[in-house]
Amino acid sequence: MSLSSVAASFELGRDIEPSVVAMLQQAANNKSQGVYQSLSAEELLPKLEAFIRAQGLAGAEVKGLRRMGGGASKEQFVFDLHSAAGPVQRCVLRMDPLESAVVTDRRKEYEVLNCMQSVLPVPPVLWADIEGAELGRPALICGFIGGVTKPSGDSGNVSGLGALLPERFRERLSAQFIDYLVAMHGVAVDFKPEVFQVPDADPQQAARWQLNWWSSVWQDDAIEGSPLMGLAERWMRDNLPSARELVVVHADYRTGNYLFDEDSQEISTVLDWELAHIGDYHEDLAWIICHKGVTEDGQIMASGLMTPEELCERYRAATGRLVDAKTLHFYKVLSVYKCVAICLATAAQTASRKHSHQDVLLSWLTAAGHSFSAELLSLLKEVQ
Amino acid sequence: MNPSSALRIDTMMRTLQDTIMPAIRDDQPLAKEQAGLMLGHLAALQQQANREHAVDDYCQRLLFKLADALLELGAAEESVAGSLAELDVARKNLEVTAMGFHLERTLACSDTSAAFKRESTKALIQYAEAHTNMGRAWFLPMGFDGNPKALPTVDALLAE
Repeated sequence: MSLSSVAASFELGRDIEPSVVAMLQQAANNKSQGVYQSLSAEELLPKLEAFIRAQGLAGAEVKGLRRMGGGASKEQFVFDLHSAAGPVQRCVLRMDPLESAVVTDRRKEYEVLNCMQSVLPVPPVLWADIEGAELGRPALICGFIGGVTKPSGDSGNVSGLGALLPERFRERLSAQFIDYLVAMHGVAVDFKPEVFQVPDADPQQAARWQLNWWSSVWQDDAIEGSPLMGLAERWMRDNLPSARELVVVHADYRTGNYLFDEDSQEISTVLDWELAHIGDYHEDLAWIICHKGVTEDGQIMASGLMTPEELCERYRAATGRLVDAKTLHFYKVLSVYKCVAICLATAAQTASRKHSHQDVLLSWLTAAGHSFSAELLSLLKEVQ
Repeated sequence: MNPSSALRIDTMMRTLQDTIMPAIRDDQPLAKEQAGLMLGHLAALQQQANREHAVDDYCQRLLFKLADALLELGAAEESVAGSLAELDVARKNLEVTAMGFHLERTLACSDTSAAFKRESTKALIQYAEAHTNMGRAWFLPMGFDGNPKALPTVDALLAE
């Protein structure tokens, strides 16, 4: 039996981005499917070779195909591509399991990665199987970029949560982190409408689209009701901010989602563009702030890199854009609301349905929802 | 009952750590990571042993108290009359899961009076402070909490 996403109850276009409704409805359709079975590297190999050859690389061979670790959502494999077209190229295959911690769309990720190639370091996107017709599940193949998400020897928790970079890394990485944020926010917001639409029908549309997206995710997936999430939703509906300027929002830009070289401290690539959309620039700032590391003397560091005040000031100085405290607070509430929805709802539901190769990680991640709930409460108390 | 859950968890952890994890090849990073997560889950379960029912009861008491408060506060609110009626039925039938959803939807409704919003926010904050403290304390062994020193223990919260 197919379920209907709550997203379908909103007025398309005015209150929610149509492609988001389609994406959430597809996710709702997947919920009734049976246990997800991953493909082994051996089972995947012939499909992958056939797919790559069909892209015009006749005679291409895939060698050394193996699973990668890390990641809470996609199945990831690395392999070496041999072809007559050029030297051996190391590649990464990212495939959707049936469900994961977040519902996303490979078409959006493919298009935004292509768009960002000339703007900042991102993985070179090679091919996409948008619907999963060839590889069995929707998938993206990119060039492999080396680097680490955290210094070696730093244990940390899953998915980079609570990450605090050691002091010797902070200044150099912060400077690049800001530069790349500014660069992505400088890209023109003219995409094909089936990829991203622009929420410019009224000043509050950007905030309303996001609220309706994520309140739908929460209601589609919640295992138990949360009076706190109800209050947060009400507060956000009553306090939708007007967008001053619309940009390409990465929507998961934080430590853990870029790679860097430990010796040179150079960021080699910015990852995980799957939640990107057109929206208010405050949204990325708030997300960065809400992913915080805490120093031994209790100083909160946005994304484990710099203080929230420093982040906002450096962004303002680099772009000339006003960082409005009320708008930033709205997006901080929304950011933490999203984290609660991802952890306590989608991750828990996906694990309980056995719909991911990372069920054990998702049930672990679910527990983080309680700390995010406490953070949500704290943010709501600030405005009472 | 012998063997106790504590002994069984302890032996599973030891076999994971001493036998299974060292046997996983370096070229199998996902298997290594997932074995590490299993060990983490088991260590957390070990620390939470025998208290899950007490914690569930504590959370249910908080929910009933919030339901009583909202049923009283919302008596004159037309726009939430439907969800409060459903909450009332769920409360009488002791359907805790349904109560949680009806409370959430009642609080999510924006079309209510300023007085209801103000008073329901106060009731919610009282509920959520206790509930989120318990959630954080219960899952403290999983290492997500940014301020564990300021947090009461599960036993201290249960004793309140």
